[in-house]
Amino acid sequence: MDKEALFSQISQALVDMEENTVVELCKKTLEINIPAYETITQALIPGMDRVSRLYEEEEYFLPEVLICSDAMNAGIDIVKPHLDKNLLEKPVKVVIGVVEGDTHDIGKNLVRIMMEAAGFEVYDLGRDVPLDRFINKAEEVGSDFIGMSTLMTTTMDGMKTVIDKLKEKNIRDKYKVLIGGGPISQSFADRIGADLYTKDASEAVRRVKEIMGRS
Amino acid sequence: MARVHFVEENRTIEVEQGTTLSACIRQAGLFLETPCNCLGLCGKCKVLAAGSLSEPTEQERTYIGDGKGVRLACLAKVTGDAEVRIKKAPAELRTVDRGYMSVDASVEKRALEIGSMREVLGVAVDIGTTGVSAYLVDLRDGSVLKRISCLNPQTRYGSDVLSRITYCMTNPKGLEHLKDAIVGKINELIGQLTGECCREKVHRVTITGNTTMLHLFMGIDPMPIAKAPYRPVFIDKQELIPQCIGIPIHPEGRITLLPSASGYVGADILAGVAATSFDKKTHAAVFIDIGTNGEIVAIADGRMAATSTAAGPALEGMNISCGCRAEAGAIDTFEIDEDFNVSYTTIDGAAPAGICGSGLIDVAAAFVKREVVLKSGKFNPAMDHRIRNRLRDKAFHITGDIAVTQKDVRQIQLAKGAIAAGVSMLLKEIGVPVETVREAVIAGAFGYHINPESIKAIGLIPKGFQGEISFVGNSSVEGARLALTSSALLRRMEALQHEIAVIELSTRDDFQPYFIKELSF
Repeated sequence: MDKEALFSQISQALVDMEENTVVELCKKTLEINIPAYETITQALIPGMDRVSRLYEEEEYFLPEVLICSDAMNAGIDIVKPHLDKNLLEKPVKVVIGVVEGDTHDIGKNLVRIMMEAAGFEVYDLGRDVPLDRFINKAEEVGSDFIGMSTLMTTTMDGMKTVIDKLKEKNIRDKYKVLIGGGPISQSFADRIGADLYTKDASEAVRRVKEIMGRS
Repeated sequence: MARVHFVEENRTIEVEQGTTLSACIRQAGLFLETPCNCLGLCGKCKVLAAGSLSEPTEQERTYIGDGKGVRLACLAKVTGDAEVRIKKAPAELRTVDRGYMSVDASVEKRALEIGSMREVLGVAVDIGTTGVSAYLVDLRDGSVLKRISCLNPQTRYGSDVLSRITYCMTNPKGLEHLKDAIVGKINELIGQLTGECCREKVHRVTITGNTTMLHLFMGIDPMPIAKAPYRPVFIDKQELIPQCIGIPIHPEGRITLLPSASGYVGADILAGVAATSFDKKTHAAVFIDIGTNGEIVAIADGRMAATSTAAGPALEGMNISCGCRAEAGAIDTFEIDEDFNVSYTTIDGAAPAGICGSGLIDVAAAFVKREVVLKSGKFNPAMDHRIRNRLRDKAFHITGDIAVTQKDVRQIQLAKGAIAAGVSMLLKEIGVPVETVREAVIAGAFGYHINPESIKAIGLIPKGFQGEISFVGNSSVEGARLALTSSALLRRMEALQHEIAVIELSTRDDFQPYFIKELSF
């Protein structure tokens, strides 16, 4: 079977949520010596891109996205040991978490999953994250983005505090700030001076890629 | 300064340029519901406005379309003189004013006697986030003399507890506004119940409600409830002196605030559990109050656990494109029959204006039953040809302009998934499988109107449930009524504070898998 056909089968199996098929086909790529890097970037990531689009079009919902992402990760696990690290382009780095005072993290988890699926390096700080930790972690790992999420109107202002602290430390320009969550809107993002607001996880990945010139 | 004229009310105020219309409305002392507390997210605060106004932003345009003169009050700003027309607020809230217990036939007759009576009276009050209910009770025998209910006046500061708390956090006088609004309303209700003439005959008032409502009533900052670890300032029973709280009744009368279990399992739930003797059930059962924060209690073999779920307001018809409150013209029941004929009813038989919660749950149930949507929630590309023409632009059209979109179905899934996941986790906590649950008790004025078959069809109670569904109406106010005359019931509620294990779902790592599993129909 030629490489292109195999790649499109892997993508399709991923979109169809057939984890076992994804795994079998990824094993086959190794048997015929297809570089792991190509399988990831030309079969698995494009498959997950299609999943993201389906999610954005409301065709797929959270359960489908999670099943697809499991299928993708299963595929990556097969080829990863054979990956030539030198070929990888420097990944987009994102520090992400749910702001202090809020423990609702399913939305944030979905953003993390989709970012990882797009090949981003994601540092997930979890939920109820003390505001300083966003900044400290970003400084420590040299991230490109700081992503903050909340479901509760009562904790939204924590996002502004983080941005204000970045300004105080004169490091505001080092990071792009991405925010999201149920009560967040573009007008709130404008008001607190965030760089990016998106209404869902899939759009977040797409816009981050655009900003980083990776689309 | 700019002059803003309210046409219907014939009132004019002066404001700074750049003031939002919603701020103008509040400043003028007028009423407009702002369910999302002016975040520009719900699109429900539409007004007619003309004159010198800011250009609609993209965000505003998604709600107002090209509607002539229609603006969102929370986003549109005055840039000069302007004229505003406010849509009339519904005067009454459709609710259930009866408890599940005795509905005495003697109510009417006794009500007539109030003017001349020498009775010792009590008032039981339930402060709901949306509606307030009050009963006038004869303290000698506990009988109900009169019932009354109204919209909670705090709804103008946001429709759910979080937006009210946010209002307190962002406005220096916010807490005072909210306290004054509810205390004033309770005074008004007591006045209406007693006909003002015999206010002093009221010797006892019991007040129940969710924990946030009780904090606001006391004028205590509820902010800690709204931030992890969600700890309320108080949960215990409070005995108040009428004069101090500003509710004039008999000078030696008492006002009692009933006890709560936690920040999100309030006195309303404990009152409901005690009033319905749910805590005495000998079979496995669940008690569910469906709402923005859906509270759930589960019992098996005398073990009880409770939680609340961030279900969101979708099941009440909010956050839904054509959703509305249960007011005239709201589609309140819906069916698709075997031959795929679509039928519905509206409240008061008025021309359909939107879909309220009970209608929406019927819609979702019919979609599942007739395979208009797949188990995943997606519109079925192979749905029956007899209704396929109703699906246009990813929306199922009930009438020409009223439709349920794919996004709406997703909102319903999120809400029912949250409640079902809560039920599953509580049952696991007390160690019983869902198959053994014999009864689901649906409490709350809202739940009362829902078709039990629809509750089962959409999987609001997890799959595998084979028990009975019963409805108890506003069991919270019923508990407050019983507490007026029964110190045993009050003690029971205090015992429940310790007997019920409260679980905070959002801090549990296994919530996500449960939730994801319960999203599908």
